[in-house]
Amino acid sequence: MKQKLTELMREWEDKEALILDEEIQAVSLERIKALALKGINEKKKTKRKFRKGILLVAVVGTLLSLTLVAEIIKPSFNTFFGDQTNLLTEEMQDIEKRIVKNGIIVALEQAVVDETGAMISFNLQKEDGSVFQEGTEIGEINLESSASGMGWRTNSQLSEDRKTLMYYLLMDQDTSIYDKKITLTLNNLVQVKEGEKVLEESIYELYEQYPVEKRGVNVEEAEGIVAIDDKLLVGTEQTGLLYKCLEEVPSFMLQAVGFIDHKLQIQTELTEELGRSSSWARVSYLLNQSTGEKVYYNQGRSLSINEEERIAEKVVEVTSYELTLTDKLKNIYPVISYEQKQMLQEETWQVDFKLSKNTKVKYKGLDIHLEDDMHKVELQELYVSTIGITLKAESINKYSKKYQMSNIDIPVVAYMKDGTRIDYPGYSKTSGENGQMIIRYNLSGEELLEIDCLSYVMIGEEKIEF
Amino acid sequence: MKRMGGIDVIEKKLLKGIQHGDIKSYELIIDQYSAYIAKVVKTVGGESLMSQDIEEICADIFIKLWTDSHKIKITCSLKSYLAKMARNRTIDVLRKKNRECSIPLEEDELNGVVLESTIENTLLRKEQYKLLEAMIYKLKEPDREIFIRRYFYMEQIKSIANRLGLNPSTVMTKLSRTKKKLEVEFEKGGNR
Repeated sequence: MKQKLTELMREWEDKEALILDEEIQAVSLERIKALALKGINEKKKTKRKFRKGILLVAVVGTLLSLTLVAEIIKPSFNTFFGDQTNLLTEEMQDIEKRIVKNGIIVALEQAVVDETGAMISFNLQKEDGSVFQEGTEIGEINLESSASGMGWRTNSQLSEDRKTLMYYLLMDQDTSIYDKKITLTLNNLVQVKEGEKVLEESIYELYEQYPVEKRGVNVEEAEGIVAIDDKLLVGTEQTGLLYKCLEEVPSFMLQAVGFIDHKLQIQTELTEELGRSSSWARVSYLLNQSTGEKVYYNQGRSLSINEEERIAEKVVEVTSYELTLTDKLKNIYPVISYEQKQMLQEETWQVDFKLSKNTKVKYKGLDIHLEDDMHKVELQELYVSTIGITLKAESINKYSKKYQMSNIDIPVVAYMKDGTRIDYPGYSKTSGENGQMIIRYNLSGEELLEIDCLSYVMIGEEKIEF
Repeated sequence: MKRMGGIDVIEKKLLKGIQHGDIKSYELIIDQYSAYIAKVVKTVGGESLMSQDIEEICADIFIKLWTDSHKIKITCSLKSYLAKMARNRTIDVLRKKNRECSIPLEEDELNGVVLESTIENTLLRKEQYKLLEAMIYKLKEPDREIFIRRYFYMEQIKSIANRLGLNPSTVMTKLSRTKKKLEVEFEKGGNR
């Protein structure tokens, strides 16, 4: 068998990013985004407000059951996982670490841990028992440990009485976390306000209010703001629209409104440091005030950075909606969505803790052999827990005979005794100790696997009975 | 924290954002690169992929970036890293669908460079790649661009010729010469 150039080129990175001619008009960028967001199963900051009725049922149910669950499970897991929380009971371990600094109590509650992942609950309360402002969140959360390749995501909720800010953190890593020191660092408290604002001026008024000179370019198809090479010319104070339109996010500006190829284009700019503590705003749609119709945009973005290292996000929003310079335009108003973050307390809280081995994790030795063009992969170990699945494998380059990560896809699905299935759409693949390949499949969203009801796991076409 | 080499400040910030679970950074990356990635997938996949397939492959790329964000090593730029992911993922998907690569075998295979796994006569693939990489950097234009377009992006000869204003037969000749040069390099390196 001869070596193929196309195979060798798998390692190539095209630094120059050559221009490609392929037309992708039939491809929906919106669908790509929707699938990509769905795929990560990350629910944007939980905004659930439990209705009193549901809470009452939960409280009554808990009291009536008088089980151990009611005694040992701390509030945060209950809040996020509701009825599913009892699935965690037997695997749960108490952390019971608590620090107090600058009037804030940070309490680590409980954890569920497995071979390559962990789920940890913690909460913040004020030392004087007072309430947090609505929308309070931790500005930034970091984890450190000697386990390699750590990653994490979090979810938060303020309790109904606003006295407890509850979090759970889902982490994974390449190597075992058992009995290793982990440091959780929380930076600052911020207040997040989300909102939507209909601009007071219609597109027509904006357009009329800021007439722009035509700068001697070919503007047959362009009216209002001058268009050059399909791009809007960013307005200046004298000639264009440079308009701070949102008190809540002062760095958000409308820059230009114009027509190119009979399509309305709006250009906005947001200058903010990216990250948890930053605010954002964008024109989310246009509202036809006379009919109530919403007009959505295709968005294109470009990013630049200024001297203060703040990122300017320029958004050109183009609608294919047939808007023309007629009276119809007078009824069209931009609607701006925003998330404003304000610093409430600058402080760092740090707490160290360790997690013990979880004996409830189910294990099976495997002898499954897979192969692709470059690698032989031997699946050796399978670990299943309430919060995820881990596969350990040996992947060897067929030619060099050395350990090397394979690109092979290994889909995994868990089946319960009642026939229900749990899919694991997202996974990460890394090199573990001794060159082993570790594949981590995280639980999907806030769905947990009931370990005692596990029937079998499908790894590709192979069925592994439990 | 993994090494981020030549990656620029904005990309670093965006990557740091998704490493910390920041959806906004993730969305910005998608908005910024999805059109380009779709072009890469379309170019590599050609007529074998429907729009729906292209969209799903692109989404997979971003999901993988998210799930592996704390582990990835970017040496050039996020854009080129995503392009590499898109290119390789597309080839894998085509393979799964039993659709062959658009480049004929005789054009793809390196004469005399064997893959058999006897330790004595097989170079490490890594070494083979290093040789190839060094040779690509040495190539003069337009030979270099032609080679990358053909073997990385799997572009059709006609399309490369159109873009560079060359005759298709000239493109074929240049590719053939470059491939020959590489075979000679491999021979010098004892890779036969």
